[in-house]
Amino acid sequence: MEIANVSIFVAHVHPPLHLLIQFRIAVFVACFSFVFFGLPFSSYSQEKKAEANNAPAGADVVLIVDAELLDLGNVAAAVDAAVNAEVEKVDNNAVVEVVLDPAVQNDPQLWLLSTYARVNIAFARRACKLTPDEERLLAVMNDAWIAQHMKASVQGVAAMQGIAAGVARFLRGAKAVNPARNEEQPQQVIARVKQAIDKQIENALIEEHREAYRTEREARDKFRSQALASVLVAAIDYRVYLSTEQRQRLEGELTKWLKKDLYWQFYFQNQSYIPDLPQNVLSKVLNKEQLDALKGAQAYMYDLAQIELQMMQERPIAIER
Amino acid sequence: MYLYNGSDEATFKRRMEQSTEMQVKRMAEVAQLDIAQLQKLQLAARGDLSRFYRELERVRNKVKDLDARNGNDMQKAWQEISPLQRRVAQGIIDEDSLLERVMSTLLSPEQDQKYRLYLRERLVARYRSILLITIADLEKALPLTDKQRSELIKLLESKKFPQKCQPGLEAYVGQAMLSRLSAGEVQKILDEEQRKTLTRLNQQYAPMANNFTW
Repeated sequence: MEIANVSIFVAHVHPPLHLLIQFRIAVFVACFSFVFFGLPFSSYSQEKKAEANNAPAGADVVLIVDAELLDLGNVAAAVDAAVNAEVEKVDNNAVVEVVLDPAVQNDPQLWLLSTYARVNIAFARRACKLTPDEERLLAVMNDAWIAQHMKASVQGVAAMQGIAAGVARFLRGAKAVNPARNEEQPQQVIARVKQAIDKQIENALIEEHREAYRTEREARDKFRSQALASVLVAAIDYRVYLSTEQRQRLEGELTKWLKKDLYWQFYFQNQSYIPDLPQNVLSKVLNKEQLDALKGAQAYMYDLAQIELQMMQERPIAIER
Repeated sequence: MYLYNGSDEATFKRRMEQSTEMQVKRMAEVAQLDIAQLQKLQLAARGDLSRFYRELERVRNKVKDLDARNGNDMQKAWQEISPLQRRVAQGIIDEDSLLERVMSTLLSPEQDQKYRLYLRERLVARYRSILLITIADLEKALPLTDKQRSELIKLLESKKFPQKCQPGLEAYVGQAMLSRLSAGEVQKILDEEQRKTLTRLNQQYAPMANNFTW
Protein backbone atom coordinates (compact mmCIF):
# COMPACT_ATOMS: atom_id res chain seq x y z
CA MET A 1 0.00 0.00 0.00
CA GLU A 2 1.30 3.41 -0.94
CA ILE A 3 2.04 5.89 1.85
CA ALA A 4 2.17 9.63 1.40
CA ASN A 5 3.72 12.08 3.80
CA VAL A 6 1.49 14.96 4.66
CA SER A 7 2.82 18.02 6.45
CA ILE A 8 0.17 20.07 8.19
CA PHE A 9 0.76 23.68 9.23
CA VAL A 10 -1.70 25.30 11.55
CA ALA A 11 -1.62 29.01 10.84
CA HIS A 12 -3.61 32.21 10.64
CA VAL A 13 -4.31 32.06 6.95
CA HIS A 14 -4.40 35.81 6.45
CA PRO A 15 -0.95 37.41 6.50
CA PRO A 16 1.24 37.51 8.44
CA LEU A 17 1.38 33.74 8.64
CA HIS A 18 2.48 32.32 11.96
CA LEU A 19 3.73 28.84 11.98
CA LEU A 20 2.45 27.30 15.18
CA ILE A 21 2.73 23.56 14.99
CA GLN A 22 4.28 21.23 12.52
CA PHE A 23 3.86 17.54 12.54
CA ARG A 24 4.01 14.85 10.00
CA ILE A 25 1.60 12.02 9.57
CA ALA A 26 1.54 9.07 7.26
CA VAL A 27 -1.70 8.65 5.39
CA PHE A 28 -2.74 5.47 3.73
CA VAL A 29 -3.66 6.88 0.37
CA ALA A 30 -6.08 4.11 -0.44
CA CYS A 31 -8.21 5.00 2.58
CA PHE A 32 -8.31 8.70 1.84
CA SER A 33 -8.11 8.58 -1.91
CA PHE A 34 -11.15 10.80 -2.27
CA VAL A 35 -9.09 13.65 -0.91
CA PHE A 36 -5.54 12.84 -1.80
CA PHE A 37 -5.56 10.42 -4.70
CA GLY A 38 -4.70 12.09 -7.92
CA LEU A 39 -4.09 15.58 -6.64
CA PRO A 40 -1.52 16.92 -9.06
CA PHE A 41 1.05 17.72 -6.41
CA SER A 42 3.65 15.37 -7.74
CA SER A 43 4.07 17.39 -10.93
CA TYR A 44 6.05 19.69 -8.69
CA SER A 45 9.48 18.67 -7.60
CA GLN A 46 9.89 18.16 -3.87
CA GLU A 47 12.29 21.10 -3.69
CA LYS A 48 9.87 23.49 -5.40
CA LYS A 49 7.09 22.45 -3.05
CA ALA A 50 9.21 22.93 0.02
CA GLU A 51 10.43 26.27 -1.21
CA ALA A 52 6.94 27.44 -2.09
CA ASN A 53 5.50 26.57 1.28
CA ASN A 54 8.53 27.08 3.48
CA ALA A 55 8.14 23.50 4.55
CA PRO A 56 10.70 20.74 4.91
CA ALA A 57 11.65 18.75 1.82
CA GLY A 58 10.26 15.24 1.76
CA ALA A 59 6.63 16.16 2.35
CA ASP A 60 4.28 14.99 -0.43
CA VAL A 61 1.41 17.25 0.56
CA VAL A 62 1.60 20.45 2.54
CA LEU A 63 -1.58 21.89 4.01
CA ILE A 64 -1.94 25.25 5.74
CA VAL A 65 -4.84 25.02 8.16
CA ASP A 66 -6.66 28.12 9.35
CA ALA A 67 -6.03 28.48 13.10
CA GLU A 68 -9.13 30.64 13.61
CA LEU A 69 -11.35 27.85 12.33
CA LEU A 70 -9.50 25.40 14.54
CA ASP A 71 -10.00 27.68 17.52
CA LEU A 72 -13.72 27.47 16.85
CA GLY A 73 -13.44 23.71 16.99
CA ASN A 74 -14.36 23.26 13.35
CA VAL A 75 -11.57 20.86 12.41
CA ALA A 76 -13.26 19.36 9.35
CA ALA A 77 -14.02 22.78 7.87
CA ALA A 78 -10.46 23.94 8.52
CA VAL A 79 -8.97 20.91 6.78
CA ASP A 80 -11.48 21.17 3.91
CA ALA A 81 -10.63 24.83 3.36
CA ALA A 82 -6.93 24.02 3.40
CA VAL A 83 -7.34 21.17 0.90
CA ASN A 84 -9.38 23.35 -1.43
CA ALA A 85 -6.86 26.16 -1.26
CA GLU A 86 -4.07 23.75 -2.12
CA VAL A 87 -6.04 22.16 -4.95
CA GLU A 88 -6.73 25.54 -6.52
CA LYS A 89 -3.18 26.78 -6.09
CA VAL A 90 -1.35 23.72 -7.34
CA ASP A 91 -3.94 23.01 -9.99
CA ASN A 92 -3.27 26.17 -11.93
CA ASN A 93 0.48 25.84 -11.83
CA ALA A 94 0.35 22.20 -12.83
CA VAL A 95 -1.97 22.97 -15.72
CA VAL A 96 0.42 25.63 -16.96
CA GLU A 97 3.28 23.12 -16.80
CA VAL A 98 1.33 20.60 -18.83
CA VAL A 99 -0.28 22.97 -21.28
CA LEU A 100 3.03 24.60 -22.13
CA ASP A 101 4.61 21.25 -22.91
CA PRO A 102 4.59 21.00 -26.74
CA ALA A 103 4.62 17.20 -26.59
CA VAL A 104 1.43 17.22 -24.57
CA GLN A 105 -0.26 19.85 -26.73
CA ASN A 106 -0.36 17.42 -29.65
CA ASP A 107 -0.83 14.23 -27.73
CA PRO A 108 -3.84 12.27 -29.08
CA GLN A 109 -3.77 10.01 -26.03
CA LEU A 110 -4.21 13.01 -23.75
CA TRP A 111 -6.99 14.38 -25.97
CA LEU A 112 -8.76 11.06 -25.86
CA LEU A 113 -8.57 10.78 -22.09
CA SER A 114 -9.25 14.43 -21.48
CA THR A 115 -12.40 14.14 -23.61
CA TYR A 116 -13.37 10.99 -21.75
CA ALA A 117 -13.06 12.80 -18.41
CA ARG A 118 -14.83 15.89 -19.65
CA VAL A 119 -17.76 14.01 -21.17
CA ASN A 120 -18.22 11.82 -18.11
CA ILE A 121 -18.18 14.80 -15.80
CA ALA A 122 -20.79 16.44 -18.03
CA PHE A 123 -22.70 13.16 -17.87
CA ALA A 124 -22.61 13.22 -14.04
CA ARG A 125 -23.85 16.82 -14.15
CA ARG A 126 -26.89 15.67 -16.10
CA ALA A 127 -27.51 12.57 -14.01
CA CYS A 128 -27.81 14.74 -10.88
CA LYS A 129 -27.38 18.32 -9.75
CA LEU A 130 -23.82 18.52 -8.50
CA THR A 131 -22.96 20.45 -5.35
CA PRO A 132 -20.12 23.03 -5.38
CA ASP A 133 -18.00 20.58 -3.38
CA GLU A 134 -18.54 17.84 -5.95
CA GLU A 135 -17.71 20.25 -8.76
CA ARG A 136 -14.50 21.19 -6.97
CA LEU A 137 -13.44 17.60 -6.59
CA LEU A 138 -14.23 16.86 -10.22
CA ALA A 139 -12.30 19.92 -11.37
CA VAL A 140 -9.17 18.23 -10.06
CA MET A 141 -9.26 15.98 -13.13
CA ASN A 142 -7.60 18.46 -15.46
CA ASP A 143 -5.03 17.72 -18.17
CA ALA A 144 -2.23 17.74 -15.59
CA TRP A 145 -4.02 15.10 -13.52
CA ILE A 146 -4.60 12.98 -16.61
CA ALA A 147 -1.01 13.37 -17.83
CA GLN A 148 0.20 12.32 -14.40
CA HIS A 149 -2.00 9.22 -14.44
CA MET A 150 -0.88 8.39 -17.96
CA LYS A 151 2.71 8.51 -16.81
CA ALA A 152 2.00 6.40 -13.75
CA SER A 153 0.07 3.89 -15.86
CA VAL A 154 2.86 3.58 -18.43
CA GLN A 155 5.22 2.73 -15.59
CA GLY A 156 2.69 0.35 -14.08
CA VAL A 157 2.07 -1.46 -17.37
CA ALA A 158 5.80 -1.65 -18.10
CA ALA A 159 6.44 -3.08 -14.64
CA MET A 160 3.69 -5.67 -15.07
CA GLN A 161 5.02 -6.61 -18.49
CA GLY A 162 8.51 -6.84 -17.08
CA ILE A 163 7.31 -9.30 -14.44
CA ALA A 164 5.32 -11.29 -17.00
CA ALA A 165 8.30 -11.39 -19.35
CA GLY A 166 10.55 -12.50 -16.50
CA VAL A 167 8.21 -15.31 -15.56
CA ALA A 168 7.88 -16.34 -19.22
CA ARG A 169 11.66 -16.33 -19.65
CA PHE A 170 12.05 -18.40 -16.52
CA LEU A 171 9.48 -20.94 -17.65
CA ARG A 172 10.14 -21.15 -21.38
CA GLY A 173 13.32 -19.28 -22.22
CA ALA A 174 13.95 -15.82 -23.65
CA LYS A 175 11.90 -16.43 -26.80
CA ALA A 176 8.73 -16.63 -24.75
CA VAL A 177 8.64 -12.85 -24.25
CA ASN A 178 5.69 -11.40 -26.13
CA PRO A 179 7.12 -9.36 -29.04
CA ALA A 180 3.92 -7.29 -29.40
CA ARG A 181 3.95 -5.97 -25.84
CA ASN A 182 5.01 -2.46 -26.79
CA GLU A 183 2.16 -2.17 -29.26
CA GLU A 184 -0.35 -3.18 -26.64
CA GLN A 185 0.86 -0.69 -24.12
CA PRO A 186 -1.10 2.44 -25.20
CA GLN A 187 -4.35 0.49 -25.10
CA GLN A 188 -3.61 -0.75 -21.61
CA VAL A 189 -2.62 2.73 -20.46
CA ILE A 190 -5.84 4.19 -21.86
CA ALA A 191 -7.89 1.50 -20.14
CA ARG A 192 -6.16 2.12 -16.81
CA VAL A 193 -6.54 5.89 -16.91
CA LYS A 194 -10.19 5.53 -17.90
CA GLN A 195 -10.67 3.35 -14.84
CA ALA A 196 -8.97 5.99 -12.68
CA ILE A 197 -11.27 8.67 -14.12
CA ASP A 198 -14.35 6.54 -13.47
CA LYS A 199 -13.20 5.94 -9.92
CA GLN A 200 -12.44 9.60 -9.32
CA ILE A 201 -15.90 10.64 -10.55
CA GLU A 202 -17.65 8.11 -8.32
CA ASN A 203 -15.53 9.14 -5.33
CA ALA A 204 -16.33 12.79 -5.87
CA LEU A 205 -20.08 12.22 -5.65
CA ILE A 206 -22.21 11.98 -2.53
CA GLU A 207 -24.02 8.66 -2.14
CA GLU A 208 -27.35 9.77 -3.57
CA HIS A 209 -25.71 11.33 -6.61
CA ARG A 210 -23.42 8.36 -7.07
CA GLU A 211 -26.46 6.11 -7.22
CA ALA A 212 -28.16 8.33 -9.83
CA TYR A 213 -24.94 8.47 -11.86
CA ARG A 214 -24.52 4.69 -11.76
CA THR A 215 -28.10 4.13 -12.89
CA GLU A 216 -27.59 6.44 -15.87
CA ARG A 217 -24.27 4.80 -16.69
CA GLU A 218 -25.78 1.34 -16.63
CA ALA A 219 -28.56 2.49 -18.98
CA ARG A 220 -25.98 4.04 -21.30
CA ASP A 221 -23.80 0.92 -21.33
CA LYS A 222 -26.80 -1.33 -21.91
CA PHE A 223 -27.93 0.83 -24.81
CA ARG A 224 -24.49 0.76 -26.41
CA SER A 225 -24.28 -2.99 -26.09
CA GLN A 226 -27.71 -3.43 -27.72
CA ALA A 227 -26.89 -0.97 -30.49
CA LEU A 228 -23.62 -2.77 -31.18
CA ALA A 229 -25.40 -6.14 -31.31
CA SER A 230 -27.95 -4.68 -33.69
CA VAL A 231 -25.30 -3.37 -36.06
CA LEU A 232 -23.50 -6.73 -36.05
CA VAL A 233 -26.79 -8.42 -36.94
CA ALA A 234 -27.08 -6.02 -39.91
CA ALA A 235 -23.59 -7.05 -41.05
CA ILE A 236 -24.55 -10.74 -40.88
CA ASP A 237 -27.95 -10.14 -42.47
CA TYR A 238 -26.24 -8.62 -45.47
CA ARG A 239 -24.75 -12.03 -46.20
CA VAL A 240 -27.43 -14.50 -45.24
CA TYR A 241 -30.82 -12.80 -45.63
CA LEU A 242 -32.20 -13.21 -42.12
CA SER A 243 -35.92 -13.23 -41.47
CA THR A 244 -37.34 -10.53 -39.18
CA GLU A 245 -37.66 -13.08 -36.39
CA GLN A 246 -34.06 -14.26 -36.85
CA ARG A 247 -32.83 -10.67 -36.71
CA GLN A 248 -34.52 -10.08 -33.36
CA ARG A 249 -33.36 -13.37 -31.87
CA LEU A 250 -29.78 -12.92 -33.02
CA GLU A 251 -29.68 -9.41 -31.57
CA GLY A 252 -30.75 -10.79 -28.18
CA GLU A 253 -28.12 -13.54 -28.30
CA LEU A 254 -25.36 -11.15 -29.32
CA THR A 255 -26.26 -8.62 -26.62
CA LYS A 256 -25.75 -11.36 -24.03
CA TRP A 257 -22.47 -12.47 -25.60
CA LEU A 258 -20.80 -9.15 -26.44
CA LYS A 259 -18.13 -8.08 -23.98
CA LYS A 260 -15.92 -5.66 -25.88
CA ASP A 261 -16.46 -2.50 -27.83
CA LEU A 262 -15.96 -2.75 -31.58
CA TYR A 263 -14.99 -0.51 -34.47
CA TRP A 264 -18.32 -1.27 -36.17
CA GLN A 265 -17.78 1.01 -39.20
CA PHE A 266 -15.22 -1.48 -40.48
CA TYR A 267 -17.96 -3.96 -41.51
CA PHE A 268 -19.75 -1.33 -43.58
CA GLN A 269 -16.63 -0.02 -45.24
CA ASN A 270 -15.19 -3.49 -45.93
CA GLN A 271 -18.13 -5.64 -46.87
CA SER A 272 -15.98 -8.64 -47.65
CA TYR A 273 -15.52 -8.95 -43.87
CA ILE A 274 -18.01 -10.12 -41.30
CA PRO A 275 -17.70 -9.98 -37.50
CA ASP A 276 -16.10 -13.08 -36.06
CA LEU A 277 -18.98 -14.45 -34.02
CA PRO A 278 -18.88 -17.79 -32.19
CA GLN A 279 -20.55 -20.74 -33.86
CA ASN A 280 -22.49 -21.63 -30.71
CA VAL A 281 -24.18 -18.20 -30.73
CA LEU A 282 -24.92 -18.18 -34.46
CA SER A 283 -26.19 -21.75 -34.50
CA LYS A 284 -28.95 -20.86 -32.03
CA VAL A 285 -30.55 -18.68 -34.70
CA LEU A 286 -29.20 -19.42 -38.18
CA ASN A 287 -30.12 -22.47 -40.25
CA LYS A 288 -27.54 -24.85 -41.71
CA GLU A 289 -27.53 -23.17 -45.10
CA GLN A 290 -26.88 -19.77 -43.55
CA LEU A 291 -24.12 -21.14 -41.33
CA ASP A 292 -22.45 -22.75 -44.36
CA ALA A 293 -22.63 -19.48 -46.28
CA LEU A 294 -20.78 -17.68 -43.48
CA LYS A 295 -18.00 -20.25 -43.40
CA GLY A 296 -16.36 -18.85 -46.50
CA ALA A 297 -16.39 -15.23 -45.36
CA GLN A 298 -13.40 -13.39 -43.92
CA ALA A 299 -14.25 -12.93 -40.24
CA TYR A 300 -12.58 -10.46 -37.90
CA MET A 301 -13.41 -8.74 -34.63
CA TYR A 302 -12.12 -5.18 -34.92
CA ASP A 303 -11.64 -4.03 -31.33
CA LEU A 304 -12.33 -0.32 -30.93
CA ALA A 305 -9.26 0.04 -28.72
CA GLN A 306 -7.12 -0.84 -31.78
CA ILE A 307 -8.22 2.29 -33.62
CA GLU A 308 -9.28 4.71 -30.88
CA LEU A 309 -6.00 6.61 -30.96
CA GLN A 310 -5.86 6.91 -34.76
CA MET A 311 -9.37 8.36 -34.64
CA MET A 312 -8.01 11.14 -32.40
CA GLN A 313 -5.78 12.76 -34.98
CA GLU A 314 -7.90 15.88 -34.83
CA ARG A 315 -8.75 17.66 -31.62
CA PRO A 316 -12.13 16.26 -30.62
CA ILE A 317 -15.32 18.22 -30.14
CA ALA A 318 -16.55 17.77 -26.61
CA ILE A 319 -19.08 19.24 -24.28
CA GLU A 320 -18.48 21.84 -21.53
CA ARG A 321 -15.72 21.54 -18.97
CA MET B 1 -6.67 -15.49 -56.80
CA TYR B 2 -7.31 -12.80 -54.14
CA LEU B 3 -11.02 -13.20 -54.70
CA TYR B 4 -11.22 -16.68 -53.23
CA ASN B 5 -10.28 -15.66 -49.66
CA GLY B 6 -7.81 -18.48 -49.31
CA SER B 7 -10.06 -21.23 -50.61
CA ASP B 8 -9.80 -23.05 -53.96
CA GLU B 9 -11.89 -22.16 -56.98
CA ALA B 10 -14.31 -25.06 -56.59
CA THR B 11 -15.06 -24.11 -52.94
CA PHE B 12 -15.42 -20.45 -53.90
CA LYS B 13 -17.94 -21.29 -56.63
CA ARG B 14 -19.87 -23.63 -54.38
CA ARG B 15 -20.22 -20.83 -51.80
CA MET B 16 -21.33 -18.35 -54.45
CA GLU B 17 -23.99 -20.80 -55.57
CA GLN B 18 -25.11 -21.47 -52.00
CA SER B 19 -25.39 -17.76 -51.30
CA THR B 20 -27.43 -17.09 -54.43
CA GLU B 21 -29.68 -20.08 -53.75
CA MET B 22 -30.30 -18.79 -50.23
CA GLN B 23 -31.27 -15.39 -51.58
CA VAL B 24 -33.69 -16.92 -54.08
CA LYS B 25 -35.28 -19.07 -51.37
CA ARG B 26 -35.80 -16.01 -49.16
CA MET B 27 -37.41 -14.19 -52.08
CA ALA B 28 -39.70 -17.16 -52.73
CA GLU B 29 -40.63 -17.32 -49.07
CA VAL B 30 -41.49 -13.63 -48.59
CA ALA B 31 -43.33 -13.30 -51.91
CA GLN B 32 -45.01 -16.73 -51.51
CA LEU B 33 -44.02 -17.98 -54.96
CA ASP B 34 -45.34 -21.22 -56.47
CA ILE B 35 -43.02 -23.99 -57.71
CA ALA B 36 -43.06 -22.84 -61.34
CA GLN B 37 -42.13 -19.29 -60.33
CA LEU B 38 -39.37 -20.56 -58.05
CA GLN B 39 -37.89 -22.69 -60.85
CA LYS B 40 -37.81 -19.69 -63.20
CA LEU B 41 -36.04 -17.61 -60.55
CA GLN B 42 -33.50 -20.37 -59.95
CA LEU B 43 -32.85 -20.50 -63.68
CA ALA B 44 -32.35 -16.72 -63.79
CA ALA B 45 -29.98 -16.92 -60.80
CA ARG B 46 -27.93 -19.58 -62.62
CA GLY B 47 -27.77 -17.21 -65.58
CA ASP B 48 -26.38 -14.46 -63.31
CA LEU B 49 -23.80 -16.86 -61.92
CA SER B 50 -22.71 -17.93 -65.41
CA ARG B 51 -22.35 -14.29 -66.39
CA PHE B 52 -20.23 -13.66 -63.30
CA TYR B 53 -18.01 -16.67 -64.01
CA ARG B 54 -17.44 -15.46 -67.58
CA GLU B 55 -16.36 -12.10 -66.16
CA LEU B 56 -14.08 -13.92 -63.73
CA GLU B 57 -12.47 -15.82 -66.60
CA ARG B 58 -11.99 -12.60 -68.59
CA VAL B 59 -10.18 -10.97 -65.64
CA ARG B 60 -8.10 -14.07 -65.04
CA ASN B 61 -6.88 -14.03 -68.65
CA LYS B 62 -6.11 -10.36 -68.39
CA VAL B 63 -3.98 -10.62 -65.25
CA LYS B 64 -2.34 -14.02 -65.80
CA ASP B 65 0.84 -12.60 -67.39
CA LEU B 66 1.32 -9.82 -64.84
CA ASP B 67 4.25 -10.08 -62.46
CA ALA B 68 3.21 -10.23 -58.77
CA ARG B 69 6.63 -8.79 -57.75
CA ASN B 70 6.16 -5.70 -59.83
CA GLY B 71 4.29 -2.84 -58.14
CA ASN B 72 2.79 -1.46 -61.35
CA ASP B 73 1.60 -4.87 -62.45
CA MET B 74 0.03 -5.46 -59.07
CA GLN B 75 -1.80 -2.16 -59.29
CA LYS B 76 -3.16 -3.08 -62.73
CA ALA B 77 -4.27 -6.45 -61.42
CA TRP B 78 -5.94 -4.85 -58.43
CA GLN B 79 -7.90 -2.49 -60.67
CA GLU B 80 -9.36 -5.51 -62.45
CA ILE B 81 -9.96 -7.65 -59.39
CA SER B 82 -11.41 -5.12 -56.94
CA PRO B 83 -14.76 -4.61 -58.79
CA LEU B 84 -15.23 -8.38 -58.75
CA GLN B 85 -14.38 -8.52 -55.06
CA ARG B 86 -16.96 -5.81 -54.37
CA ARG B 87 -19.58 -7.75 -56.30
CA VAL B 88 -18.84 -10.91 -54.36
CA ALA B 89 -19.18 -9.03 -51.05
CA GLN B 90 -22.40 -7.30 -52.11
CA GLY B 91 -23.90 -10.36 -53.79
CA ILE B 92 -24.19 -10.77 -57.53
CA ILE B 93 -27.94 -10.18 -57.49
CA ASP B 94 -28.48 -6.46 -57.91
CA GLU B 95 -30.69 -4.05 -59.86
CA ASP B 96 -29.01 -5.02 -63.14
CA SER B 97 -29.16 -8.77 -62.60
CA LEU B 98 -31.14 -11.14 -64.77
CA LEU B 99 -32.96 -12.37 -61.69
CA GLU B 100 -34.26 -8.89 -60.81
CA ARG B 101 -35.51 -8.42 -64.37
CA VAL B 102 -37.28 -11.77 -64.36
CA MET B 103 -38.78 -10.91 -60.95
CA SER B 104 -40.33 -7.73 -62.29
CA THR B 105 -42.31 -9.65 -64.93
CA LEU B 106 -42.89 -12.86 -63.02
CA LEU B 107 -44.52 -11.65 -59.80
CA SER B 108 -48.13 -10.67 -59.36
CA PRO B 109 -48.68 -7.13 -58.02
CA GLU B 110 -49.45 -8.61 -54.61
CA GLN B 111 -46.32 -10.77 -54.57
CA ASP B 112 -44.25 -7.86 -55.81
CA GLN B 113 -45.58 -5.69 -52.99
CA LYS B 114 -44.70 -8.31 -50.38
CA TYR B 115 -41.23 -8.65 -51.81
CA ARG B 116 -40.64 -4.88 -51.93
CA LEU B 117 -41.91 -4.63 -48.37
CA TYR B 118 -39.40 -7.24 -47.22
CA LEU B 119 -36.54 -5.43 -48.95
CA ARG B 120 -37.57 -2.10 -47.43
CA GLU B 121 -37.97 -3.62 -43.97
CA ARG B 122 -34.51 -5.15 -44.27
CA LEU B 123 -32.97 -1.87 -45.38
CA VAL B 124 -34.69 0.08 -42.58
CA ALA B 125 -33.48 -2.50 -40.02
CA ARG B 126 -29.97 -1.97 -41.36
CA TYR B 127 -30.21 1.83 -41.28
CA ARG B 128 -31.90 1.78 -37.88
CA SER B 129 -29.04 -0.26 -36.40
CA ILE B 130 -26.55 2.26 -37.78
CA LEU B 131 -28.63 5.11 -36.37
CA LEU B 132 -28.65 3.55 -32.88
CA ILE B 133 -24.92 2.92 -32.79
CA THR B 134 -24.35 6.46 -34.10
CA ILE B 135 -26.28 7.78 -31.10
CA ALA B 136 -24.18 5.58 -28.83
CA ASP B 137 -21.05 7.02 -30.50
CA LEU B 138 -22.45 10.54 -30.18
CA GLU B 139 -22.51 10.04 -26.42
CA LYS B 140 -18.73 9.95 -26.42
CA ALA B 141 -18.85 13.69 -27.07
CA LEU B 142 -22.34 14.60 -25.97
CA PRO B 143 -23.63 12.72 -22.91
CA LEU B 144 -27.36 12.00 -22.82
CA THR B 145 -29.56 10.90 -19.95
CA ASP B 146 -31.68 7.81 -20.47
CA LYS B 147 -34.75 10.01 -20.97
CA GLN B 148 -33.03 12.28 -23.50
CA ARG B 149 -31.71 9.27 -25.42
CA SER B 150 -35.16 7.68 -25.63
CA GLU B 151 -36.72 10.95 -26.81
CA LEU B 152 -34.01 11.50 -29.40
CA ILE B 153 -34.43 7.97 -30.79
CA LYS B 154 -38.20 8.39 -30.87
CA LEU B 155 -37.83 11.65 -32.77
CA LEU B 156 -35.38 10.22 -35.29
CA GLU B 157 -37.44 7.09 -35.86
CA SER B 158 -40.45 9.23 -36.64
CA LYS B 159 -38.49 10.62 -39.60
CA LYS B 160 -38.07 9.00 -42.98
CA PHE B 161 -35.13 6.68 -43.37
CA PRO B 162 -33.28 7.16 -46.68
CA GLN B 163 -34.43 5.20 -49.73
CA LYS B 164 -30.85 4.41 -50.65
CA CYS B 165 -27.33 5.74 -50.39
CA GLN B 166 -24.17 5.96 -52.44
CA PRO B 167 -21.97 2.86 -52.15
CA GLY B 168 -19.62 2.84 -49.18
CA LEU B 169 -21.39 5.62 -47.28
CA GLU B 170 -23.98 3.65 -45.35
CA ALA B 171 -22.06 4.07 -42.09
CA TYR B 172 -22.93 7.77 -42.16
CA VAL B 173 -26.70 7.34 -42.32
CA GLY B 174 -27.08 8.11 -38.59
CA GLN B 175 -25.09 11.32 -38.83
CA ALA B 176 -27.00 12.34 -41.93
CA MET B 177 -30.30 11.83 -40.10
CA LEU B 178 -29.10 13.76 -37.03
CA SER B 179 -28.00 16.67 -39.21
CA ARG B 180 -31.49 16.92 -40.72
CA LEU B 181 -33.18 17.63 -37.36
CA SER B 182 -34.39 21.19 -36.94
CA ALA B 183 -33.22 23.46 -34.11
CA GLY B 184 -36.78 23.53 -32.71
CA GLU B 185 -36.96 19.73 -32.55
CA VAL B 186 -33.62 19.45 -30.81
CA GLN B 187 -34.44 22.24 -28.36
CA LYS B 188 -37.21 20.14 -26.82
CA ILE B 189 -34.78 17.39 -25.90
CA LEU B 190 -31.29 18.81 -25.31
CA ASP B 191 -30.00 21.56 -23.00
CA GLU B 192 -28.07 24.55 -24.32
CA GLU B 193 -24.57 23.07 -23.99
CA GLN B 194 -25.69 19.84 -25.61
CA ARG B 195 -27.25 21.73 -28.51
CA LYS B 196 -24.04 23.70 -29.06
CA THR B 197 -22.04 20.47 -29.16
CA LEU B 198 -24.50 18.83 -31.53
CA THR B 199 -24.37 21.84 -33.86
CA ARG B 200 -20.58 21.65 -34.01
CA LEU B 201 -20.68 17.90 -34.64
CA ASN B 202 -23.37 18.30 -37.29
CA GLN B 203 -21.29 20.87 -39.14
CA GLN B 204 -18.82 18.09 -39.90
CA TYR B 205 -21.42 15.68 -41.21
CA ALA B 206 -24.22 17.79 -42.71
CA PRO B 207 -22.82 17.47 -46.28
CA MET B 208 -23.14 13.69 -45.88
CA ALA B 209 -26.92 13.99 -46.12
CA ASN B 210 -26.52 14.81 -49.84
CA ASN B 211 -25.23 11.32 -50.50
CA PHE B 212 -28.56 9.77 -49.57
CA THR B 213 -31.83 9.57 -51.50
CA TRP B 214 -34.58 10.59 -49.09
